[in-house]
Amino acid sequence: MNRKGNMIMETIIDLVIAALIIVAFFSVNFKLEDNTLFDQKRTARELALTIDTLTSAPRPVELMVTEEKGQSVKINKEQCLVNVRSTEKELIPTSFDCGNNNFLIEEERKEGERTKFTFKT
Amino acid sequence: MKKGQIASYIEWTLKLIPVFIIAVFIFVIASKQINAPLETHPLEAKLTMNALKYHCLILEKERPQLGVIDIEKFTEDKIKKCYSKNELGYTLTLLNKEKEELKKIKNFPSLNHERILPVCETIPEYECATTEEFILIYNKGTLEPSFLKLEVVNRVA
Repeated sequence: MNRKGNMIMETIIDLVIAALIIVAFFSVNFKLEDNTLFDQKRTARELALTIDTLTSAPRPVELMVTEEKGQSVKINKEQCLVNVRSTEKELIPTSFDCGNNNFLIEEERKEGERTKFTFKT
Repeated sequence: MKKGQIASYIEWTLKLIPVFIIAVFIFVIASKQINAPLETHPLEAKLTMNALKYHCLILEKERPQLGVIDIEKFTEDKIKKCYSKNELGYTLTLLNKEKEELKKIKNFPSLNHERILPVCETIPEYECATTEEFILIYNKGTLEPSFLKLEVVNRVA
């Protein structure tokens, strides 16, 4: 390859590398702007720790849970495990534990968008 | 290998160094941001203390007596049945007013948690907290001032 050909080749490779960096930067930036996974984690912890707080509250006590837009919340009553998953995106669901042997739900009732949990005395 | 080829390799290596540095930088920033920790461990330790003090051990006569614990309830079996968490282990110690140990209870979800408690500050996967609170013990009709010490180990990763 002559000198001119070499220079063109080098320029093309430089441009490809630069393009790769730019694409990587924008894809990472796009990923960071998305708070869905963080929100999942936050909701699971918030609810599990609220249930833990209720452990030391005078009974009977009621807890109203409103599912946030794009989230589905499930509570495993036996293990006291709060599980949150996204209904809009394909993401790994997030779980968080609450105190498992004092979690006695007497009633679970849907009231419009909210779910009401009544804890046993 | 010809001299020209070696020079060419060196030139390409030098060109790739900034690319590599930028790639590592982007990766580090992204992974830190994506795995941003939610530090709820101190809150969990506080809630454990509250659950034990105001629910599991509380003295109940006509109504619950806040700040007074029933010594009869201070047994390993009762505590384990009352408050346990899958990723959280704890040691609960009852001390007298001279800070001498009266009773000690361990509740660990696994042997691993128990082993880690003394050295957990060195293991990033685990967090520890110790709290001590003044309480009154109800023992055979009398109230005695004492302290309740809680050491919590929590798997956070």
